Amino acid sequence: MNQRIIYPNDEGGVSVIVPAPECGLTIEQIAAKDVPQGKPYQIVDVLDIPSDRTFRNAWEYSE
Amino acid sequence: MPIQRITSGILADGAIVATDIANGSITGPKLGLTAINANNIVNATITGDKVALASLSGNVIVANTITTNLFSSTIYASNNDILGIKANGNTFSNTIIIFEGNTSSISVGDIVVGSNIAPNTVVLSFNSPPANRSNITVSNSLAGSNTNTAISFYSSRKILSPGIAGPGLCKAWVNFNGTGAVQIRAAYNVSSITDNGTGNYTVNFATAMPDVNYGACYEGLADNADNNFSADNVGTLTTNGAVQTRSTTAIRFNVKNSSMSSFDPATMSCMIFR
Repeated sequence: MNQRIIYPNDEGGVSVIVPAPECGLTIEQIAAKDVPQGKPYQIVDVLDIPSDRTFRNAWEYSE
Repeated sequence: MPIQRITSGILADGAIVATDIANGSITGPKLGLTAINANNIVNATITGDKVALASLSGNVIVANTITTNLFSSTIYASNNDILGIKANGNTFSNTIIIFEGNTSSISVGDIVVGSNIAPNTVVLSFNSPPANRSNITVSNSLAGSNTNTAISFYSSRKILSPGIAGPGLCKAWVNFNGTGAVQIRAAYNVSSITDNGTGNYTVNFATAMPDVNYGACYEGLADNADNNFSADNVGTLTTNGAVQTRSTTAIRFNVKNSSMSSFDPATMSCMIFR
């Protein structure tokens, strides 16, 4: 699955949900289940997530 | 001429030997102590009050329905069966000499497990007297000669019931790459992982645990860029597995190096038992 789900976490950063392959759920079902209740989220392409994690904890969520 | 129907009577031992029993039905109060040999049993129904001590042998047995009102309770593996019979002994060639442990209840065909014992090694025979099965011959040659080595025997003829085996089974696991574009390599009962930051992950279960009293195990690949590590430590476990939060639906943890700094492991695994 080449999609990711992003949402703002409680630490002020951004959390990235990585779906498990062949888990039998759609990305929307995973978002409904695994994004904390009440959090806004976006479904993005994996290529939109930086692969350079040097400053991973400084990532911010934007609408 | 093929037998069309048997309404009563007794078939002698070994009376049914066929290359193909297809779309047929075997119905009776008891199938016992009898061997049914066939190359192919297809789409057959075997129905009986009790199917016990029978042996079915053939190349293929495919049945839509096998219905019994009662399976003998002895064919289900108990907790002790799952734990196996433990003993110590000397091994050489195809022989095991038991000198510690009670192996009086082992059977021919039991699977033998231990160091230098190849997988799928089974008991072929054992010495008399029956109460002292100290000299056991097994199916595979044992690697080298070993003294006082731990050996376990497991039945190969027991049905494993989820009701008994369930608590010992891994309920969820995941293996992922925490570097670069984080990727799950393989998983079971995991819908996703959440990358919360450097070395900080949540494993989300596809099917929730019954409560939070589960056991969690972690394994990770070392941070070999950590100057506090010697070369010997490269590739060894470095996570402290500090659990931040857990619920019935997810568990969150940190991965740290020997300096207690969070880092992203190239290989990280999490296993859940309940």
